[in-house]
Amino acid sequence: MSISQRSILILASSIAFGFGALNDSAQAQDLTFGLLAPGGVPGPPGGGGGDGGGGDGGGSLADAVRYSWMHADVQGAWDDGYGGQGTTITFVDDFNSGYVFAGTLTDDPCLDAGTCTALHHGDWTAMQGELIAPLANIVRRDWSGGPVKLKNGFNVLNLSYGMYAAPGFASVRWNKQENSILDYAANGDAVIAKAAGNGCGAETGQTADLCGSTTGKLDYLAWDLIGTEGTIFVGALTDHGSGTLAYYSNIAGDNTTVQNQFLVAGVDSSDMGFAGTSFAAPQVAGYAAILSSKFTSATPGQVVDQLLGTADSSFASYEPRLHGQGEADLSMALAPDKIQ
Amino acid sequence: MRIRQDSSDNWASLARGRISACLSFAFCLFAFPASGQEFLADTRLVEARMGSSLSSTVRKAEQGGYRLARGGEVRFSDWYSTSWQDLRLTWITALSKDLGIYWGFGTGERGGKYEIDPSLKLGFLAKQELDDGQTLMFAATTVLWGRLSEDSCIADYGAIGGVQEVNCRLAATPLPPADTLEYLYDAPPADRFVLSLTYDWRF
Repeated sequence: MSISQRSILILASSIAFGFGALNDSAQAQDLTFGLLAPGGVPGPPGGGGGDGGGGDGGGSLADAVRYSWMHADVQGAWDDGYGGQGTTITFVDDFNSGYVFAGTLTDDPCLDAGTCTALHHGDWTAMQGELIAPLANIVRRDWSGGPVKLKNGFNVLNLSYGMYAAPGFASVRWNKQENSILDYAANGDAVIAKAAGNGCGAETGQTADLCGSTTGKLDYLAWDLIGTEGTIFVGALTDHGSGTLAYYSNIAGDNTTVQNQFLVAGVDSSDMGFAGTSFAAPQVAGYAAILSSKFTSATPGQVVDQLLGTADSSFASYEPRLHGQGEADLSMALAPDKIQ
Repeated sequence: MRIRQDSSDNWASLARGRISACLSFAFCLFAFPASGQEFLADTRLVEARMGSSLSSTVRKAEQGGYRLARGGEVRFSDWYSTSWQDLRLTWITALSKDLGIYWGFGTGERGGKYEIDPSLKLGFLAKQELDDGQTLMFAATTVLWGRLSEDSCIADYGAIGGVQEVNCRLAATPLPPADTLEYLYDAPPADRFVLSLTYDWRF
């Protein structure tokens, strides 16, 4: 029974394509995957695949520009010469489908006006990571390929998508791609920045039944990432420091395990030109890269713990059920616990 | 720097209508007869300054601070402020009509995480009268000791970084903790060696 869809975590309607498998007891189940994109004209299902675009890491801090959608802490990191060097951020995302859309991540008038070639969802999320951590090796990995391979050094995986299906399956037999990701998460081999989802306040790992195309469905990828050492779920605030959850963002929920691995980050849609927890996760992925540049011997699990343990929960509206550990705070994560 | 001008016609006139080409600071000379008995009379204070350039460096560091990872705050003023800034006093004693010596000292200063050592200043000033009210003066001074040094801190980064020796000011930056030690203050006085050539032309 085809019951699942892959969904980019951005506000939009969807079209299904792809493949996958759920295993309910001994019976294999095919999945149907879905792709969401706002503002773009749906095209034919894309083939994509492959081992992903090559990383570059060829950015320069001298050329780096802190755009208004970025947290001010990022500038401080650059000023000190750190932009994620020695780190690879792999964006597992859509780079090949027919769905493209315009945004305003940069001051490029071509992109801003949407008059030039619009970009895939993955191009935008990877651009975010590249802009925040310009010295990191950025790998663009289309999501329809085989196992995700880690690079030498410190690895961060950005997952701005979900794997949706009707609830009720006790276990999932994943394809090679998600299987590799889940292994990395469970073993603590990489930091996994996972967008929480756009279920309008649905609990992470629970059925999203409040709004959007994922209504009534469960993100099984999130479900299986709960409790893994390397995973951070990332919800969206309306802006940095606002303390106000974006109306579309999923929440941590009542599960304390999820609360303990849940952060929020500001997604100012007026600056970016689009919205969604898809664009919260790359910020945390970039923070993880910068953090690993400082603590060069730290494990992914330690970087995860540091980001979660230093989140800002000092704002008035803070609730663990909504914000998990709070808003990701790069400057706090870089600071010592004690000093004398 | 305070400039003390002698009342004698010879030197006071230099202060009027002159063109100076200075490599460091401008000053006026004092014409005194050189003798041991008249040492005090032949000596003038030429510099009295609270705070050296190294003090200024530390004053800049005094601003700011950072939040600690698990709550609390570091204020740099706790480590880099002082109730007494390096006091520099310099005198010149005329040995002859054309030669004087500089001598003086700095008290140094100390804060929670830094120290400017006391210093001693020595030097001389030679003057050569040229034709038509033109004067050439050469001065050389050196400051002994007076170095700025900074203490490190011990920072506890918890599981991610452990306990490490760090630069107190940079402990919360993205720099790896060990690398921050390269940026500890360790500097000699900015005026450790000063040569000055001054040409005066009275017109």
